[in-house]
Amino acid sequence: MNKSMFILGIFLLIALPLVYADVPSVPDPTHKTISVVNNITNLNDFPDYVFVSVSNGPAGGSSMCEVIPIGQDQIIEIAAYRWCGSADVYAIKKSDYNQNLTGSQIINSSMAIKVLSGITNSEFLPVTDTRSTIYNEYKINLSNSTDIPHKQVVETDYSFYLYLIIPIFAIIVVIVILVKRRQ
Amino acid sequence: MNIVSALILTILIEFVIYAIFIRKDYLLLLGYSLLINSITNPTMNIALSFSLNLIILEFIVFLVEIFLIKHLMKTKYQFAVLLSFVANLISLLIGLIFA
Repeated sequence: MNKSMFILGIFLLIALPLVYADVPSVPDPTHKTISVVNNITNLNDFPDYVFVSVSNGPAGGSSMCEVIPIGQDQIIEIAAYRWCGSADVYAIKKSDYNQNLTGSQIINSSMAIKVLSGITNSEFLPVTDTRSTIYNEYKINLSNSTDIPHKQVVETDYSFYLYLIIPIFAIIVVIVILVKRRQ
Repeated sequence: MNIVSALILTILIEFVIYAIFIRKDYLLLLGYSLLINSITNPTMNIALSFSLNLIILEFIVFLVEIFLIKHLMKTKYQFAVLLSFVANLISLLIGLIFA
């Protein structure tokens, strides 16, 4: 083999993984995205308030990230556009609330009380992590904001460990082949 | 792309490389590609999920495949080095372009 071609090949073999590591959009078999379901369990304790989720990511507050009222199912919905990021939950008195309020108006309003912060609806985890869905339950009060759920239920999925069987089985087959050849 | 689809893609790519270099016993080569990559590919992806260094892991895969190619395909050492090198380089390139 031409020496310069070999050196170029070695360079590519070393350089390409570095490029790969810097491309976040490449589907990554080493990680997975799981769902996080967030709900507020004591919403009915505040009948005079409307609760809304407002995105706080790079595009948070803009018209691309809609303000989503939390309904009777008490589940916190988050704007889907990727640059909306995570969300904060604000309580607004029903008398002060109107559906046309934008995210930035709510964030800057003295009438809106932040009750929850940093709410996300997905997590990016290594494939070795057995968590498959996370259910967070929050209890809110109007006097302080929290980002810690009072209860968390985690669904697990151990099917990842089936992947370990593939290399183990292949090693056994290779050993059997090599041993049989020597006999 | 999950671990299984990454594995299937790698098996097919490396089979084509083996076939181009060896030009006989294609079914056997497919079997060897299946065996070799079933050892190295899931192991590497699992190791990567623990944030181990990608370059070091790629190099370990390259070395392991030299050993497996040499002994399974009964080739000369230099040819196994070349085949492992080209197969891993091409599968990495194609993975980058089409993943």
